[in-house]
Amino acid sequence: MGLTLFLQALAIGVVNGALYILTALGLTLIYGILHIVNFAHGELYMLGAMLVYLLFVAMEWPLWAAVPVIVALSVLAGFAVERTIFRRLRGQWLQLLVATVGVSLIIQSVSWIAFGAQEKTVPSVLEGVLLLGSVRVPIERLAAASIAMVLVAILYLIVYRTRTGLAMRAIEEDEETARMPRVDTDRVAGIAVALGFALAALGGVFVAPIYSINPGMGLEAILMSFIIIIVGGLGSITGTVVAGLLIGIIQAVGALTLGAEAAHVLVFVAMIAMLVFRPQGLMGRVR
Amino acid sequence: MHDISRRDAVRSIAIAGAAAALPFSAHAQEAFKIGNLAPLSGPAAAFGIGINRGIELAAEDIGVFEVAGKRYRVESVPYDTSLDPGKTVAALNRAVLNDNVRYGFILGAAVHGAVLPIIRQNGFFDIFMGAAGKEITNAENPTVFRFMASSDQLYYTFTPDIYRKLNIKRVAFMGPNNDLGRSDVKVLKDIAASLKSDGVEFVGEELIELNAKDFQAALLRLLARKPDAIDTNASPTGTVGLIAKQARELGYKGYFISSTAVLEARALVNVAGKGADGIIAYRIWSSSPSPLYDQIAERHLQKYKEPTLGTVWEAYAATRWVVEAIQKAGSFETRKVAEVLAQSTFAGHPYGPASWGGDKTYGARRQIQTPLPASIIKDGSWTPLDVRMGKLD
Repeated sequence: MGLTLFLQALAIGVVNGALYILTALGLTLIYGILHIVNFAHGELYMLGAMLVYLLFVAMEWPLWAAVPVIVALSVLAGFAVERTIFRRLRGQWLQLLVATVGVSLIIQSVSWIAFGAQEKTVPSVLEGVLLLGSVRVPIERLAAASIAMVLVAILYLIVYRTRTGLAMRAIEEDEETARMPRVDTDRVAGIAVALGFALAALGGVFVAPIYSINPGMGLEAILMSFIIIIVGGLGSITGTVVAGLLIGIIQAVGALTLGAEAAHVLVFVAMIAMLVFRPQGLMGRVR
Repeated sequence: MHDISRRDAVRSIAIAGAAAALPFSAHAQEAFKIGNLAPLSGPAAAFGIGINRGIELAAEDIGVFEVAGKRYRVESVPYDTSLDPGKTVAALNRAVLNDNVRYGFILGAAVHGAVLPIIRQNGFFDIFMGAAGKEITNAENPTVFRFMASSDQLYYTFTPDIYRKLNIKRVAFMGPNNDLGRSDVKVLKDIAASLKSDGVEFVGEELIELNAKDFQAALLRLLARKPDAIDTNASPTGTVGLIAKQARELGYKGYFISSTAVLEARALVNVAGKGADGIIAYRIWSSSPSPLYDQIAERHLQKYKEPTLGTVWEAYAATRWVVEAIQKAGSFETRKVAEVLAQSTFAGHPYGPASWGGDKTYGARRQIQTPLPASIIKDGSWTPLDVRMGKLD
């Protein structure tokens, strides 16, 4: 394997990893603060992609108008789901698990009916390839990955540099204690879920022009997100970022050296190895 | 008590008469159920939806038909298999045991290994839509008819001519990691070996998940071997489009050959964009082969508000041909109908005159023979490639 090929695979892995991170972050945020495993998360990712198709392609809205509307809708959906389902079932993990699976199935079924079964495509808005020496990086992927990284930085600032973030981390530590200094835990939980939903929807928005889309695409996304947050450590933002990049690189370098089938298996091997040798993940804490 | 007026009495009798006639007329036209066991969701959904539409259009043209003095109308019964062998087994069991369906389209060579025992046991009439070869259509499966070109037809009678015509020397394979992909990659290696004297060489293979969307890293490995053409085998439209798009992004300038898939011509260009140029498909007609082809395209556009899906033509022809054979046999007994069908020819196929072959290659006359073209995308449009599928003995 030549150096050029290795660097090309590395570039593919880093860019893909950055795109995985966005969706996985929402999942880990909701888990970290509310300890809810949100199985409906992949459907938010799918809805982001399908809505960009609906608004940008079918209704011919400009992209600058479509994206804020999608974010606003996903934030509203986040608050609504937190208020009507998560809050009522808080602390009942099994009921919550079943409820999120139910929400996932409802969203997916309605989407198959609403959007149809055929693959859809969103035309690329940034065509062309950036040449970094002999490494080729498609501009649309690079742009999506860069925006994803900016969003990660913003999320990091929210969680670690704002009062709301402080409250989120307080709830993560101990919800009962967090209530004492008059933290509005319900409000903070709502914000966390809304943020998580928005990140998932944006993940879908960014991949829509890169791949073809359909209402079943959420399954693949949530599977990858689970692998990433398990490897990174449940609830850890930094861990999710590191694991996302790591999984992306393992996939790409694995496919280059061993082939596509082996690379697919390699990701699961990484996850199982992590569960066996470091169950808390790369940066998770032992509770 | 009210007196009943004469007008009310007449109205009541008319309503009662109509009500009584309803079950009679429904009974007078029984449903001839044709199952559609195909993907109706996911990346290959267009295959299954196309079959449903083909059956519906054929049903409109067939109208009411008689068998042994009874009147029937074709009815499509869809089952979503997602191209998954397990789901296809469940769907076939449901069709046979619960829904009393004895005839049906089953799409996908990759699912057939799982369903063939059920087909043999029940004498189910399999209107098989897919490629592969002898492992599916053979003397042990008398009620299985392949209504599409087989891998042998597509590869052996097309591929060498295309390699020569386009001066393709180095060939790679990127197809689904299912039974069909694994079997067809062997066929392609065999062809390359047989063309060694012409300088043809098989340089690499990648087997991919059917639902995968990102092929960049796998392509990188393949492109390092500098192929002139990548055979995408039975990958569905969206997958072929993404492979082409991502390969072009990595700097690949060669051809893609969609050998055994049924592609959606326009959707492919939508997915791959400018990268679609150089995609070759074996069953896309750049110019219409018959007036019936045009007529179906027109009706499809009016009825479904979109261009004709790739499987519509063959599903339309298969439905009409099978019903014709049932009428000739005077029975729905599937083995009897199979005997009649195997000896028949059909003039109503949108691709042109159709007949059955495969006696020598498969040991059973169960392989459709129709004219079939090859086309290539140039400047975003399909243009004919001057090659035609050969005859299979």
